[in-house]
Amino acid sequence: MKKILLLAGGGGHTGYAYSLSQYLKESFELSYYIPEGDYLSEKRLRQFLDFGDIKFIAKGRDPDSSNFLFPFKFAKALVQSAFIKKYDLIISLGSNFCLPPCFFAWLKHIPIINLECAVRFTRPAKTVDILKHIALTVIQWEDQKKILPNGVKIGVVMPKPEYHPWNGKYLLVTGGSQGHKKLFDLVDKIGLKRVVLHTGSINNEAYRKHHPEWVIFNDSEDINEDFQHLLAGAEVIVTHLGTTVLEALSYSKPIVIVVNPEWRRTVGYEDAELLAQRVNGVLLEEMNTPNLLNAINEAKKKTPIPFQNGGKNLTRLIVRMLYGQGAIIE
Amino acid sequence: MNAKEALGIIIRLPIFFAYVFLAIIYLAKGDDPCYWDDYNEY
Repeated sequence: MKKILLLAGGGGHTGYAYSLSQYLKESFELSYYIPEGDYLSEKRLRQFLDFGDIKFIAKGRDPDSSNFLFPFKFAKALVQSAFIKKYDLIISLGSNFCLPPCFFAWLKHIPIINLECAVRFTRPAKTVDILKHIALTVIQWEDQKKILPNGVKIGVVMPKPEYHPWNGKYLLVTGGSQGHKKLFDLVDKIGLKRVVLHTGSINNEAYRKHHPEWVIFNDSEDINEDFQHLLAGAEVIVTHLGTTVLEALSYSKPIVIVVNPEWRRTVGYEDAELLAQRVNGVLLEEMNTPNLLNAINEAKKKTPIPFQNGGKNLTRLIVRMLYGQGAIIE
Repeated sequence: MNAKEALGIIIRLPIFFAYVFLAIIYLAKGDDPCYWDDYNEY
């Protein structure tokens, strides 16, 4: 069996690794590199391991971290990646975290696939821009050809739905693994009754005190219910601009997108507008109480557009690359 | 690793160092310009 290494840089990048693994696990032996200390990614991906392994390496920087430590962490990641095994293929799923292993993979003549994030429309991610010269770049929307003309379109990579959609009549609010404090504070102020709040890496003690009736959890807390089950049961999902948007799509849930102004090193408002149009979601233009309530009501009236899952298409492409043109999987 | 693979690595090594150097410069050049400045009012 051919061996594939997936570079899961945490948060939404791990989300892509999870979605792709659901398809790739049938035909390939999977291994993962994940950021040091990211036990949530490890927990999510360990289920796909058969004979492969998981290795922790340093991540240069996060969307909101300072540049000061970046060169040291990046140098550490280079050292940790130097003895990369001879995989048959490496898949870069975004984030500067992917660069050191990909550089050494290129040096050792290992083919690389370079996935551009679904939320980029106006400029490519820096990591994708760097790797496009040494890797096969794959894009998720036709429009992304404007920023990556050599990209091969595979469609939107979404997780396979694990539950049938149901209506628990609650609002699911999430800011992804990094959290979105300004959004949480706003929802806190409004005082809605039926809310499931996922705070990512943000401390949620204050919200617990104000709203004992809410279901509140962060990434280090184990809750009785699976996050996918909570997604499947939400009436509306309010989220940052990240892969939760794609997870919401896989369950055909109405979406309100609230960009996170604290992230200075990621996509901008224009990208968010373009994504909201494509998925028939609502983008919150200005963060205040009436706007958020209007956006939630507007989202309820909209039905997300169904898409073919890009994960399946990418798997077909990889099978043809590694097993030959005539190979098929199903 | 056989001799052919080792030779392949040696040939790529200078490009590898140049590429890593340029990538670090590109990454350190600053943040991606975003629209947050317009969006930061609230």
